Amino acid sequence: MASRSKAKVVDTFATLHATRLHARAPRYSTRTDTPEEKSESKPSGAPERKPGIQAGRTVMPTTYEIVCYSCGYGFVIRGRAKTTQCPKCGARLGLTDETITGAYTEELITAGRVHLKPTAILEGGKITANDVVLEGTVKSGFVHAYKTLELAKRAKIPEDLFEARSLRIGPGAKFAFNKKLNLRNLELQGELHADVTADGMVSIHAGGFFKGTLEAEHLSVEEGGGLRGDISVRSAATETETVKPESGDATPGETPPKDKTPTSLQDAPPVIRPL
Amino acid sequence: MANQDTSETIFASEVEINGTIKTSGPVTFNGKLDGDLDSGGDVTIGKSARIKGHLNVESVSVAGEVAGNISAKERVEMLASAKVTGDVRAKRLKVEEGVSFVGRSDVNPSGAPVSSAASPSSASSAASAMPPIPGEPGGAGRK
Ligand SMILES: [Zn+2]
Repeated sequence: MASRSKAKVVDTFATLHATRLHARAPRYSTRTDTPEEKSESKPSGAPERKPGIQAGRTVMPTTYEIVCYSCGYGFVIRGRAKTTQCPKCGARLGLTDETITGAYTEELITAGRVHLKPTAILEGGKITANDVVLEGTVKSGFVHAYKTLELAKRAKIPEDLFEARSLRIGPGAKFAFNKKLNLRNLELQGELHADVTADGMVSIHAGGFFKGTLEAEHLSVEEGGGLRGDISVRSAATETETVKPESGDATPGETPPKDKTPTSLQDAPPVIRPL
Repeated sequence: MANQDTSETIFASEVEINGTIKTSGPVTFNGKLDGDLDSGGDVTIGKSARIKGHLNVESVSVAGEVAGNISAKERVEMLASAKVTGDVRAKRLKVEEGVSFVGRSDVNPSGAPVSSAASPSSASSAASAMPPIPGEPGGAGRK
């Protein structure tokens, strides 16, 4: 070890001191082991210990993005809690995750996640949550996802019975919507036929397919993903004077550039804007 | 891919060409081209390249600007710095985040018909079948 001194009292200073020493440990190490010797001395199967990482994990609690279902304001909390208070409107927000497995007719509001399993049937109930995963059927009622609605392979939902900020189509799922979708992010592992405007990121993974008109701020297509239709992607960063096509057979869109930064569904920004 | 015994042709960034480039082998283009590029090999459009014309290639990787249609027998790759204004048709497509792309795309790696893909509960016929892309050999956009 780099230091033999021990902190008697665990206060902020001691924590920071320990973190710093831990991060520096390899640099100040007096051991002259060769890499081979080091690997031999490690128990087999033990994960490689990276300096600083372990100590960092203990002092930095996980952050969670929350969108207030009362006013739509987005904010971040540290650590897991059952409830929290919206810093903007003061509403008390439930943060529990719920799972529905059967027929459901009531109203459910949470700033957590609601998972409707394949056997779940929403009949007249209203689900309001930050994230909704739908594997079951929505017959009537409404689903409102303040953050992301994920539609799985066997999910069934009429297009007028949901609203979502971001949409994820799961592997093997196929959906077609007549209504125009205004989203932040769209992630396709399955197939979507629709007209979509996304002010964030559109990701088409291998096996994903999009058909329709797409106006997006950012687009990424993995090899194996499909894209068919009129596309208009004008990344703000690359928006400069572009050479014009000589013939009129290309189909440039009319979308003005927007001042947005890229986000992905997995790694959303630490502070999300009000919806 | 076709090309492997053919030596690569490289156009430096100072090169300006008015007219059509035709080659059977791989090409790296970094200059300015006012015209079409037809290649039986793999084509690399460098970051400094500016092309006003159509590309007919085996496969292409675009990092620069293309104002025209891209038709590839195999693969089109758009790197983050790419700016494409035109239609893209290929078997496979890879797009990096950051590209600017305005045009029509026709890429369906699975090759399966897509018109009947709606979920039973979902509304169907959201998007009608796409008309053929101009610029495909024999299409309206080619000379
Ligand atoms: Zn609020």
